Amino acid sequence: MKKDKKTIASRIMTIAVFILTASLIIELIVLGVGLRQGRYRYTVDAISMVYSIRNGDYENLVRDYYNNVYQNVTEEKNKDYIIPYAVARYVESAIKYRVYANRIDAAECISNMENDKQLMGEFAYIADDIDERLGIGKIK
Amino acid sequence: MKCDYCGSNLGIEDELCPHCGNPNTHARQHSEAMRMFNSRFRATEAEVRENTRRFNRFTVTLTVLAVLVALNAIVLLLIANSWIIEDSMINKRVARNMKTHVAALDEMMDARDYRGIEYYANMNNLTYSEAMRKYDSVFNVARCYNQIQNNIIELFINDRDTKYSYMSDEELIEYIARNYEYVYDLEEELDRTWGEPIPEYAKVFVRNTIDDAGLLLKEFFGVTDDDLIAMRDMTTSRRALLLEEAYSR
Repeated sequence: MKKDKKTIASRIMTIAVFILTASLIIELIVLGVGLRQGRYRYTVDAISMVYSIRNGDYENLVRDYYNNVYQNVTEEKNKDYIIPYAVARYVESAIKYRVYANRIDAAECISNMENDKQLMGEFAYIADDIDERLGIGKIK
Repeated sequence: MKCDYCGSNLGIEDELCPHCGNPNTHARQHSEAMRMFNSRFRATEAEVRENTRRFNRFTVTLTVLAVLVALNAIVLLLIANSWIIEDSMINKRVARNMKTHVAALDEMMDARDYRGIEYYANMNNLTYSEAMRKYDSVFNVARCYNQIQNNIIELFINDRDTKYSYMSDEELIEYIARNYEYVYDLEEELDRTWGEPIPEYAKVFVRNTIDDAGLLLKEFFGVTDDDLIAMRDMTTSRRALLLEEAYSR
């Protein structure tokens, strides 16, 4: 009887060791995730950005562009980003050109826009569409 | 020890008397006693060894349990304070690279690179950092300007008739009106966050941002300079109405 009690106590202690070890591992993961929370950043893949273009959601596209670029997700590293990035830059340049034409170097801005339009390739009609919507065709 | 039969001297291990050849009764008793002793000794030794082994295992398990409980408690405490720890880590990192951040931000402020300021601050956790607290108004003013620009893109460039247009024109215009208010309110906030003396380039940056935000409104909504001045004293809803009227024109 005495021996049984000892065996049961020993088993309980072994189970407790396993439970505590498992909970410690989980807690360490939670702590690791918690400490990286502020550093967590998402990046947007090229397909989602193309999807934004397809849906005419340029506002989202521009935000995703800056979010990616400031995390060094560049078109040099992944060629899939060339078109969406070119469209995003084109939108920004077009606004700059329309609003701040007197302040900025307009020739450089137009050159950048043309460059981005070329990068768009067969999707260059998007640039024409943006020009039309912003009414900058008349200015250029 | 003497032989029971001839009385000659015997050794304790001698089984027979070397003189008369009779059996040594003392030796037999001795060897039986020794056998019994050895057997008891082995039993006791085994019991002691078993008890020691059990005790050792128990002690080790108990120690491991105590250490695990202590570690669990420490990690739980760290989890509960992870934000404070993280803040402190961020602050230290930002303070270490303060010169680089200040140089980069000053350059962006000079170039009126509002997107750059917002994303640079976000990516480097500057907005949460005590070390860069005085730049808070700069970050906020850049963020508000970018928000106005985002809303303008949504209103004027996005396809407005898709299912992805979550906000109505009125809501977007109200956001623009509110963010324009924030932009010029932040000029006053500069005094609070920067402390004295406020460097001229910070004042210039905020003023430039107000001007640039005004230019966006003038260009896209067709409001006049007088409208922009009047908007400063208007409520948000009145300002939004003015922009809506201008937009519908």
